[in-house]
Amino acid sequence: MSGTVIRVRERPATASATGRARRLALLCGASLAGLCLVTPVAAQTENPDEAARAPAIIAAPGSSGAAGMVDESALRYYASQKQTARMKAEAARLKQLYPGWVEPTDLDTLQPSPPEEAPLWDLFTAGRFDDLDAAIAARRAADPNWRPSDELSRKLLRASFRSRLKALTSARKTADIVALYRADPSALDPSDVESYWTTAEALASEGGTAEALALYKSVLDTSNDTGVRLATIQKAMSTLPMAMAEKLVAMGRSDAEGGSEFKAIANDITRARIVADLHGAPAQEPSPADMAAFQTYARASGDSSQTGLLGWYTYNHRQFRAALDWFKLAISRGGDAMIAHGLAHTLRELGMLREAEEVAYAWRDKYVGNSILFIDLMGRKLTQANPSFIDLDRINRYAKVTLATASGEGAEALGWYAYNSCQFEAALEWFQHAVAWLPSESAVTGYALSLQRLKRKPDYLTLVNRYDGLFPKVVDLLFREGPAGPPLACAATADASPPQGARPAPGAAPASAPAPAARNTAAYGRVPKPDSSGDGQAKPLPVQRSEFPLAVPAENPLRYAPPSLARVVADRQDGAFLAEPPASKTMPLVARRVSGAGPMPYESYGFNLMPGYDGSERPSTLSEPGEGTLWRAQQAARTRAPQERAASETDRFTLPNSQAVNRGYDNPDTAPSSMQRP
Amino acid sequence: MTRTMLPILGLVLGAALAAAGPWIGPARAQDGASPVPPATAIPGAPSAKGDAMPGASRATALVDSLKNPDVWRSYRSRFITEAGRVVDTANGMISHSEGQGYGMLLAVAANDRVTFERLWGWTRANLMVRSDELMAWRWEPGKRPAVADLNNASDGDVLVAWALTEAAEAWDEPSYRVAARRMAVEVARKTILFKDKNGALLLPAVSGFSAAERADGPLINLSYWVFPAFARLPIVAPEFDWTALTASGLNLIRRSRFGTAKLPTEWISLKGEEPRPADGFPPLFSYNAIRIPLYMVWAGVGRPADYEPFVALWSGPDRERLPIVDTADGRTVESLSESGYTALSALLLCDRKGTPLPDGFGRPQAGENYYPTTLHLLSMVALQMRNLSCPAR
Repeated sequence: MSGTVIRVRERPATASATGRARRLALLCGASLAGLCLVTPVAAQTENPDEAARAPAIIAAPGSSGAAGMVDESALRYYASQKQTARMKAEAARLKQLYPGWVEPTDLDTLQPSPPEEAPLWDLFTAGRFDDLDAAIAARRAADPNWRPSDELSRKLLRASFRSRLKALTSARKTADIVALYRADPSALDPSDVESYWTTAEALASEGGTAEALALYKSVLDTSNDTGVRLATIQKAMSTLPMAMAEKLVAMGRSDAEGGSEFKAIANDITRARIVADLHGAPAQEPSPADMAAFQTYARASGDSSQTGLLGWYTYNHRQFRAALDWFKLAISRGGDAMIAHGLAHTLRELGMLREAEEVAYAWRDKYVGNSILFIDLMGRKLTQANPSFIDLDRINRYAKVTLATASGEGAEALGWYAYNSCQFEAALEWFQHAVAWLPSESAVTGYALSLQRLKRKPDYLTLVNRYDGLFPKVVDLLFREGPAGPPLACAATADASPPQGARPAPGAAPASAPAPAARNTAAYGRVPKPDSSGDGQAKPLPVQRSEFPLAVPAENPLRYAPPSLARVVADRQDGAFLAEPPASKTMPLVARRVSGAGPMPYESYGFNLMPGYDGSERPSTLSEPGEGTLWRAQQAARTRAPQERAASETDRFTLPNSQAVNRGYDNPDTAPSSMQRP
Repeated sequence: MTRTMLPILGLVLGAALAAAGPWIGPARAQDGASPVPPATAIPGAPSAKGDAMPGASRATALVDSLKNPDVWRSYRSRFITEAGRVVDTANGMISHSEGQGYGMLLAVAANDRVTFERLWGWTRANLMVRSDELMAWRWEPGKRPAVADLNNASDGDVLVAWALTEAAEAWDEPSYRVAARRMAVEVARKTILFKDKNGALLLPAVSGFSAAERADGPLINLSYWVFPAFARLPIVAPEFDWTALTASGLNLIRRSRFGTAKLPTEWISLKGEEPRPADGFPPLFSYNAIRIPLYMVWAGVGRPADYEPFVALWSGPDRERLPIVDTADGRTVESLSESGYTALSALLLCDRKGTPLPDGFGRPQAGENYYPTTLHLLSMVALQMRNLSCPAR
């Protein structure tokens, strides 16, 4: 019944520890196999001593009965009977059994329990608290002046608190635990460390971190048991923000050698500080010595999650060479897809883009983030102003991943690559996919340009008219001199006809390299400037009435289902769906105002738009995400970055063209855009 | 809240973006920009969550939770076009991201993969016209152009991201998983204020509701807190603290008890110390807010006291209609009489009081509009997923 906490130091892993390990494994399985670096704590310990202590630290609260309780009933009985010799003997016995135990201070004040309470004490001893409550109530009903002795009242209060706490804990009713505790904090038995921990954990999870901290603190104030003290730190670090747990760490006493009594769990403390740093939570920075010790431990442990942690930590501090070493070590020790994700990002930061692409590709199926990283990494390469030669196999596999993940980003990147190398038919097909999956202004522009190049005028006009009022840059294509703006670099040799046999068409055999065009170095001169339509002066419209405005269906009909569904989705199912209501009137020819779309190019010629759905008459742009969003922080870091990077080792890997490809919606005026390039 | 999954803020992502920014294509690529430090091991385990706060681990899957195929077939034929557009029949036959999200969720619940693909195909082809991973929220047929507003609606984005997550889980389709992650990450980084003084705040949209943009901002709409989604989005975007959103939502519901009826309004200002009805909006508990108890029951979150105002409101003698309440004076200004709405009260009272379900609970009426019918089907799904049993009276 008693002493679990104290004794567990000598015990091997308990059932509750393995149970938790299993639960964590399940959690990981339920989400994404690659996501879980969470390891059971037992696995994080580095030496046999720690392994032996682990169960005390991770034992699920409530699993060990009234663990933590020192049975003081005999002691208190002797004290109340004033049998001092026996009392002292019992105290000595308890001290020997439980080295951390402290003698209660109220022994002198205890009064002998009245003889008529004997049956009530029997009920108490038997743990029949409900019956005891009932008996007391019955007694008081018969004799309103009677009340149980203070000793019995107090013990009953604490015992019933403990038993209710236990029940609530196993039912995981944290809110009820908090309510129970707050109803009468004095019901918490100071000698019952387990209950302190359980209550503190519930408080922390319900937002009562300050109260939780106070409970942990009072354990440290009163307990001299090393195991209890270490476990309290462990528990606090797992339930409280590290900044609060640091206050408890600071309470560590100095041992004989002048070190902290918590040095046995120094690596756990360092780990908690590292994790807090990764989560952007305040915590003390690990000292160089602690960091070195943790690194030694991580190297020796063979546990990829620990080396991986150091990988993320160094990455976070922009020490990419170190991060590379740690991630590589973690991968060599069986690191998972999330480790690979860190490795790929580190390689990217070091300018080793080719390697980053390979890592992301290799791990694409194990973690969705790698798939996305692969698409985005190579998307950058493909949308560079001057397309460079890219190996056939690389384009093919990129096309495959793009189709398998129905990536609008990938399709648009392939579209631009094909377009900029004068493979207009391939470009058209990729842009069709892009417009089906992610019809951004840039994708629709690419599609329109491809249609224009291929002289598919009706389709081109339908598209431009469909996005009238929404995409100024698409509409602007109609208002330019010449069909498609300045010539493409590749057009010198390729003109409007794509190189034969080099057509990465999405549906059929995947892409092949645009080799002839790409090797045409003579065409690689300047990046054409965006064509600005005039210099602000009103000019006659170069657009014919037969082209604009036209009444066109408003709905974007393009669809590309995943391969597994492509056929069934195309099947008609009469009656299974709502018939699209016929348009009550013909499609309007004048566009309405759309919030956030900005002005249309023809407005500068004095034409106006209809009011928007909300009555708006003026063009508007959308504001950026507000203060306090992660996006905002990222933007701020982006503008800080050039200075930071200037002195960094990454510079020698920086690609010369990297500033040229931001086709950001957020900054359309300053960012040269590939859609404007042709 | 504790620190189990604090968002990986600032430094990590920011540092990466700093260098990564320029190469990203149309400012939408995310993982190229966002390294995702893992949910790392910390000493001990994440703090235990009681019944009041189920975490992702105990949330059940959505697929196959709509057991009645006739109900689904009828819904599909009345509100979903062959192209995959969900039609708001009482609202000028328009569509919106929220409706597409509900349709996609119900398609997963009905295990109708083909219809799901139609819905998602239409959604992305017509609403994903912003230059990021979120959706323009409003689409109107017969208009030039059909998109009415490039702003997003965070609840629509959350619903679609959740539906894609469920679809990816149910059918193991990589394209859904990729799309779910991109959208969930975008919601988290553009519309959530993780470190607000009120806890994590879900702004109603990227633009227009922040403290900088409105005198009474930030503004929130508590019915945008789709609690059951927050239990599942960690599957695709584990680096964000979705649990904090659940906690903050419940906390704000607790504090947003206006007037004698002690009910939240649709739009709430968080400008001051305590929530208050937002300026320029009628202080009503109305069409939006009636979904708050639906999402609470669906996710099984909150303390008993959190439900009390809703239980009190819907326990009145008139169980055939749902009242719209002016929180200023506590009076009912209008009643929602379509029976689909009363599925919400039936679900709540079943969950809280074990009240038997009305006869019509399993049979949505054929003549009703998109919104009440959708809420009705969602209530049926919630009942099934929560495994609630209240025999019909």
